[in-house]
Parts: sequence; C-alpha cells; structure tokens
Amino acid sequence: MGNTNKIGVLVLSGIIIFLPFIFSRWEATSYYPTVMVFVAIHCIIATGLCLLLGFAGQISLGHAAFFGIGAYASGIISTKLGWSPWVGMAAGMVIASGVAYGIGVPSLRLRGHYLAMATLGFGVIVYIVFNEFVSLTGGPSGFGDIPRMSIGGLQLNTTFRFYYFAWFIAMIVLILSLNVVHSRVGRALRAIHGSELAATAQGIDVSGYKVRVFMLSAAYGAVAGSLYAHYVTFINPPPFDIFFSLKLLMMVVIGGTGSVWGAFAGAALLTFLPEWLSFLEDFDVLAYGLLLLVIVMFLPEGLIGLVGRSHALALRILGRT
Amino acid sequence: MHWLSGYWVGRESSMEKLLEIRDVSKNFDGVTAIERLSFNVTGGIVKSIIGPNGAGKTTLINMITGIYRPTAGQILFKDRLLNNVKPHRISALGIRRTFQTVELFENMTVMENVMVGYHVRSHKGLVSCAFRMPGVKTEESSTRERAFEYIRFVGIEHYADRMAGTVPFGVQRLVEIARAGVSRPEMLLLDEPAAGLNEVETAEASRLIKRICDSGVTVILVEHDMKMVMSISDEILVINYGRKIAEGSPEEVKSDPAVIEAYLGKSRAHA
Repeated sequence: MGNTNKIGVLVLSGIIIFLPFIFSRWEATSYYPTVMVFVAIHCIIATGLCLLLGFAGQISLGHAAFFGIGAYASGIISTKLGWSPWVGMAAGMVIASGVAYGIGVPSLRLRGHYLAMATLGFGVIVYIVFNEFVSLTGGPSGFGDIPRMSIGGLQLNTTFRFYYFAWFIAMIVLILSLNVVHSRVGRALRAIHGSELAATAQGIDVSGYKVRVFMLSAAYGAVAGSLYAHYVTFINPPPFDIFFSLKLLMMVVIGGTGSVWGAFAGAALLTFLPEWLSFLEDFDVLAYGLLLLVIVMFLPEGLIGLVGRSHALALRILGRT
Repeated sequence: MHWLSGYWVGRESSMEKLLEIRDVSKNFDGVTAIERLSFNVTGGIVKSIIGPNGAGKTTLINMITGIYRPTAGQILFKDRLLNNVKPHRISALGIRRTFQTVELFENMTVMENVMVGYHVRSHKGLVSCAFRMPGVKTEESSTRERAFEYIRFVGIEHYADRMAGTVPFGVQRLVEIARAGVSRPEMLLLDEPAAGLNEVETAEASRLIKRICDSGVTVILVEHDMKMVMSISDEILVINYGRKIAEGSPEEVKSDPAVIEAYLGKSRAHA
C-alpha cells in the first residue's frame, strides 16, 4: 500500500468518524447515518466485486446470492439455533466461499465469460431456494427477530453504534484489499486481466487465481449479508434478487474498476442516489441508465478517475501561475 | 538468496541433454504440423530453430511450453517428462518464453511487467499478502530490486516507469525478453525476437541474447533474420513441413543441400 492510499484511508476514517455529528445537526439529514450503514455494507460487497471485475477481469451476475447466503446463514444460525451472530457470520463466509469454489472451478477453467453465465443461473437458483424452502427461510414473507450483534457486552442496538461497527469492518475490508492489490498477488491479477496467455507464461496459475479471488469476493459478500441481517433484524428474499446483483455491478463500473477506491465511491453514490431521486419513483431506473451511459462514454475509468483528472488539472493550473 | 540458487543451477546445467525432443508429432484436425521430430538441446548454448514459414517452429515452442500437447512422442526437460505438465508449471520449472506477437501487460508499467516475470521466484499467497504477514515486505522489495537489476542488464532503465503499451516497439521486444529472463530460467525460448526491428535494434538484440546465454541461460531461438541466427547460434536445427531437414553448426547448415533447397527451391540448389 503506497502513501497515497495510507493518506486516503486516514482521510476517509476521519470523515466517517465525524459524519454522524454533522448529519445530526439538520433535520433533513438526520436519517443519513442509517443510509451510511447501507453504504458501508455495499462498500464491502462492491470491493469484492471490484477485485473480481477490475483485477481478475471476471464478471459475477449473482453476487446478491452471496449477500443472501451470508444474511440467511447468519440469520438462521443466530435466530433458530440461538448461536452467536459471529458464528453465523463465519459460517456465512465459509458457505459462500465454498459455493464460490464449486461454481468457480468448472467455469473459470474455461476462457471467456462462463462465470457470468454460471453466476446468473446460480443467483436465480438461490433466489428460488430463499422463496421455496419455507421451513428454513420463511419463504416469501421471510423471518424477523434476528438478534443484534454485540461486541463484548456492548449491544449494537442503535444506528449510531452499528454505524461505527459496520464502517470498522468496511475499513478492514478496504485495507486488506489494498494490501492484496499492491502485492505480488495483485500484480498477478492485473497481469491476468492484461493477457491470460502471457500471464500463464510467467508461471501464473490463471484459473487458480481467478477461483481464489472469486472465493474472496463471495466471502466479502457474505460478511456484508451478515451485517445486513443483524442490522435490519428481518430478512426476506427481494433484497437478494438479480436486480441487486446488477446494481452491485453498476456500483463497481460507475465508481471505477481500476481501483478499490472506485468500489467505495460507486457504492456511496448508488446508495444515496435512490434517496435523492425518490421523486422520480419508478423512473429512477432511467436515471441509473443515463448515469451509466455517461460514465462509460465520458469517464471510462469511473468516478475515481475524476480524482486523477482534477489532480492533473490542478498541477497544470499551478504550473502556469 | 533464492534467486541466486536458481541462477547457479542454471550455470551448472551445461549437461548433454537439457531438453530432449523424442519422436514428437503434432496434428491439428488431421493436418500434420510436426512429424516425428527428434533433437536435443545441450545446456549453455544458443540453439536456433529455422525453417520457412509454416514449418512448425512456433508449434514446437508451444509444445515445449505446454500450450499444446504433442499428439505423439515425448518432451523431456532434465529427464522429466513435460507432456502433461500445465504451462504455468513448466514456467516454474525454469523454461520461459517470449511471444512472436508481443504480449505485454499493457495495463502495467515496464517495471511491473518485469516484476510479474519474477512471479515464479516469489511465493506469498493471497492471505499472506492481505494481512501483510511477515516476509511479504522483504519479498516485495527484493522482487523490485531483481526486476530493476535486470531492466538495467537489458538496457531499458529509462523506460522503467512508462506504461508498457506506450514504449517504442523495439523496447517492447526487450521488455518481453526482460520479463522472461528476470527469473533466471534455465532455458529461454525466444520466438522471433527480431521481427519488426531495424538493423541497429537487431544487432543490439543479438548482443543481448549472447549476454543472456553467457549468464548461464540456455537459449532456443526461432528467427527469420539469418544474420542474427548465423552470428549468435552454436547449433542450428532446420525444419520444413514439420520434419527435421538438417542440424548442426552454422557452417554445416549453411552448406547443406537440403537446406538450400528448402530455402531457395530445387532449381537454384542444383545450379
């Protein structure tokens, strides 16, 4: 992790710490901490998807399913078995990455977008299971009374507390991911993205790395799902459908696939956007489409590309004076 | 000192048969690309493989590096059968290659490209890297050191921080060689390293290949530029239509009637 990233992590941590105090000063933004909890949750999944898409060059159209597996595993284990939510979270991670291994090994051995097809089907299957396995999942009406998480004796039962907890996890995910990107493994992943043939010639186990990154991104998805379940304390199938998978992909593409920061930027924007566009009602989909179009056409490196561009612009202006 | 140990293994291996091709054939849907070809490569030399277009030279390289599997016959590297070994494993065993159509990672800098070439000599995995476990930092800095050392050896240090896709074509060819050579393989397969280079660049590349060989790396060179082939090869293998038509020193091959015939046609050869 370079110096720019360290500064970035510090600045973001600072912003995160003070944001609730700023929001609470105005009536109109008083519920923003709640939205920010979802931003943190989305950041975690989007980061995994960003590693998969931007660094290993693979698309998952079923990441909402891993989110769902994390939520349901954690919810069922803590509610029906009465075990600690932490056990639920760990179980969700293990199940999600195990399933990712099962899907990844056959589909990532082939060159091409077989993973996209496999995950598309997988997402649909998981969604059907959530709806139909009524005895376990509660079917379409879901189930509630999921216990809250606690650290030591501290119950995470207020938005304020959960906000800091969720962002703490999101920052850990960010730091771990930045470490991966700026390492031998991250280089190998970018090499695979650049040219699979040449990567193989450098002794890189192309399909092995793809499977590992896919498993990692599935585990991130499960962590996010577990946070969701214990924050909302109620789960039913709709949040885990194919449209959420697509929204996650949009977060990554709009934020920028070349950097983990892009996933954070995209997750933040696409989580707040529905709040700001609520007056459009069902037509907000058009706004997303327009946004995606504009980004792909004019800012292919994503929102995060703006940082680099404004930096270059600032240097030019400073250089002139 | 891991990289050094590999380096010295490379030096010691001037054995009789570093690579042995035994009766190898390759068919593509009934078309024979290589037919019952046998030859050996002695350690520590530059061995060139020449032949007219479509003779099967690149097919041969692809078989040695595991991208294609032979239809029949055996490929042995230090007496180890390579036929069913995966390409990335073959790379890790110490056989590295470059590509005729430059295959750089254009999304990365020259330096990063060469660092990727050092992949097989470093070992930290996903989890170790994520948690910055002990040793990750030292491995990273030694990788950087080795890469820059080799970039200087190849003579492209001025381009180290440029994106690989933006440097001149001649430099891109050298980056390919640096990326393949940085791990100090025992054997380096160069697939037409002079293609697209001008005369000055070709002469430079020839000197570089000679220096790489002198550093203890056995070189297999596939090339059309006869000046380069004749000036740096210790041995030459000539193939045509997937069969061996001659093998020997540059002088022997140059005067071989079968070679002249393959290159110039029958009438001129008999004239």
